[in-house]
Formats: sequence, C-alpha cells, structure tokens
Amino acid sequence: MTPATAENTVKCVVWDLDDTLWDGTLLEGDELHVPDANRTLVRVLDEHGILQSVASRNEPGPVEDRLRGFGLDKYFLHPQVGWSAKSASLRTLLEVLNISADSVLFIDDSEFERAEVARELPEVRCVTREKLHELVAGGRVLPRQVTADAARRRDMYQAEDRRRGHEETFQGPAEEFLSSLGMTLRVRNATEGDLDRAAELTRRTHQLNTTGITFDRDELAELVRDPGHRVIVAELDDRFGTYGTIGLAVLSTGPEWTIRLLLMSCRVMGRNVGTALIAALARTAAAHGARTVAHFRPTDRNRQMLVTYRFAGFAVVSRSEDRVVLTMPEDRIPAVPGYVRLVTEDTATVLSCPTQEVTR
Amino acid sequence: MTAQSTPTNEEIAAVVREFIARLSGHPDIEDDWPLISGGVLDSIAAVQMVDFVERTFHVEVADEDLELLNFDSVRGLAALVTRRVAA
Repeated sequence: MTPATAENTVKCVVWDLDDTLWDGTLLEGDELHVPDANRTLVRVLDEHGILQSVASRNEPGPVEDRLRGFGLDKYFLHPQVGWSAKSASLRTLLEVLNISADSVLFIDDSEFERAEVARELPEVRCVTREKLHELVAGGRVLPRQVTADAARRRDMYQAEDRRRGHEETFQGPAEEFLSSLGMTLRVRNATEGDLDRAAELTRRTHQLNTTGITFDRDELAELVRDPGHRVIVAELDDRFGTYGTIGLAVLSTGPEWTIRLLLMSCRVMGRNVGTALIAALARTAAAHGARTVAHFRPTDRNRQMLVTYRFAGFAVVSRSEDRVVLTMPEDRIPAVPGYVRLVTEDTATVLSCPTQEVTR
Repeated sequence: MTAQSTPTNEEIAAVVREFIARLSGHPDIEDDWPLISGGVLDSIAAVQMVDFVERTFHVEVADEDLELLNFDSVRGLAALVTRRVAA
C-alpha cells in the first residue's frame, strides 16, 4: 500500500457492500446494519470532494433498495452491482468517472477480492475498511483544502450525467438545445476561496485560453488585492445543476481595462457562453468609464478564442509575432446571447437581452 | 468539386449550404439566415466552418477574415470563399 501523496491523491473510494459498507450479507438474508463510523465516513469523504462508488457481487435491484433505505444511495456514482469480477467493475468506473487507477481506493473485506483487483489493476490501492478508517484518521486521504468546486464534485458528476442524457436524446437545432438548458452565467470578482480553482484553470486550460499565462495561487491573491487589477471568475448553472467555476479573467484596470487572460474550462465547450463572459467584462469596464482591450497569443489550439473576441466586436489594433492586441470600439456594447441569463455582481443586475447588438 | 477549375460562387454556395445544413440541423437553411447572431450556430461552429472551408476549397482563412459578417450566413461564407478562391 502506497501512502497517498500529492502525486497520487485519492479521488475515488470504491466500496464493497457485504461486511464492508454494511455488516451482514444481503443474499444470506442477514439483518443489515451500517455502522455509524461508516455512515459518517461516507459523508465526510463526499464533503471533501472524494467520489464514491460501489463494487459488489449482488443482485442490483435489492442493493438499490437497501442503499436507498439507508439514505446512502445518492452518495454512490454508477454503482457496479452484478456478478462480474471486481476488477472489471473497477475498470468500468475508471472509464465512466474518467479517473486514473492510482487515484482509487478499493475497500473490501475479502482478501480474495482485494488480491484479484491488485493483480489486474496494480495501481489501485486495495484495503479493508479498518485500514480506510485508519488512513483517513491519519490524514492520508482527505485533501487539506477543499475548493467550492470540490465540495460539489458529486453534484457536478450527477448533473453532467443527466445533461448528457438530455443532449443525446435532444432532437432539434443547436439554438433550441442551448435554450433548453436554461443556463445562468454568474460573473463576479474572485475571492480567497476561488484562488485554488482559478490557478488550476490557468494550468489545465489550453484550448479556450486567450494567452496561456499561468498564475499560481499567491500571484492571484496579489492581483486580487491590487487595485490596478481584477480577477474575475464565472460560474455556470443550468437546469441540470452546476458546472462549477468554469471561467477566469485577469484584467489590468485604469483608463483602459486590458484582458490579459481569459479562459473557459472545456466543460462548457459548445455552450457558447464565452460571448456572455466577454460581454460582462466589457460592460463592467464601460460602467467604470473604461474601454476594453484584449490580448491574444496564438497557439495551435486556441483560435476559437480569437474568433470569440472578433465575433463579440473586438477589432485588431496591432499584431506582432506572438501577440494580437484588440479593442472594443467605443460605441459598441457586446450582446449577450438570448439563451443565457447573465448575472453580474458589479452592477447587481440581471442582464438579459436579445441577440441583436445594443448600441449606446 | 475538382481542383482544376475555379468554382463559381453558385457552386461554392451550394457546397457551403449543404455543410451548414448538416452542422446546424436545419435542412432547409436559407442563404440569408443569421447563423451566429441569430443563435442557429455557436462560435465553435465558426471554427468548424473555417476548417471546412480551408480543407474543401484549399484556401487559407486569415485572422482578418474572422469577421462575424463572413460567417453569419451562407451568403457571407460563400462570398468569403469566392474571394479567397479568386485571390
């Protein structure tokens, strides 16, 4: 058993059920009992953004009933209940949850099952529930800091599953699909609690990223405090739930507001909300009597963002080897697409307007 | 379409129309429909349009061409391609 280090953080705990999550064996007709310590642990793991699932050799129907009866069903994503090998169940989970084997803890009372998984998936750490409790108590499982996005990670997975179901069955043109989502984009100044996620976004986002500048947490904290800068985050929700914090902008302010970095998580690819975020930034700048300037540094993957700037009304003012400078013409206020409701903190108003251009 | 002869604007428009119809899910797309400003397509579709145009007609779409007007209708896109093919 390798200790959980920064490199192999636990992202998912997969529980066996009989004599592991609960005491007793379902198919033996035992009276089942979930120990309080397990119940608490499931909740604590969940609140810390660690995903949980089930790998159990059982009949799916009765398991579902019992989990619901215990009030625990909502905590487990894609429970794997059936008669296949546990390693096969784990492989399925790695794929549907899109996580790597070394980020998984598999909990089972049976030495045979643990050995089977360890043989087939050597990177998965296989332990008993007693060992799991010990690891958690020893500070080896829970992350030290929990971002807002981590705390609602399970919600986000579940929302994404429902959303994907809707997307796959939706018949009709793109604009109707986007309207059907009922999206709300919230744009606000970053606070302390946003900075870990914001720094992570600068490292991980390549495609929907205007300049590729990365910032660590401390640099962002400094910019948040600096009156000459703004760090702005965007969160997206739709009727299926939240996408979490999906957008980040870093601006220098003054007579001109310059968007040094604008990025959107690939989670919102195809949602076309970049335009709404740009509109929010340009409108906020205009409300402060400033015009908006934007920088763009081309890579082989981010042309999308140049298109977004250009279509929002930005004009190119200068171009060098590695940088394009664009400005929003004074008389132009970019429109917010009709299918997204924009809520901005700065003006505390809800901006929602038709897709035509609005001119002052 | 062959590479030897320069296609006419009508031929280009027909190819573009078919592509946009597929991309948008509107089989009866009209040449003047506002695609992006009207919300029929999103700006990611614009990048797909750029790729399509570059591959199909062997032309380069420059950053300067990334004007909304050039991508907001079948007519606009066909006109852009016609200009680039002739250039």
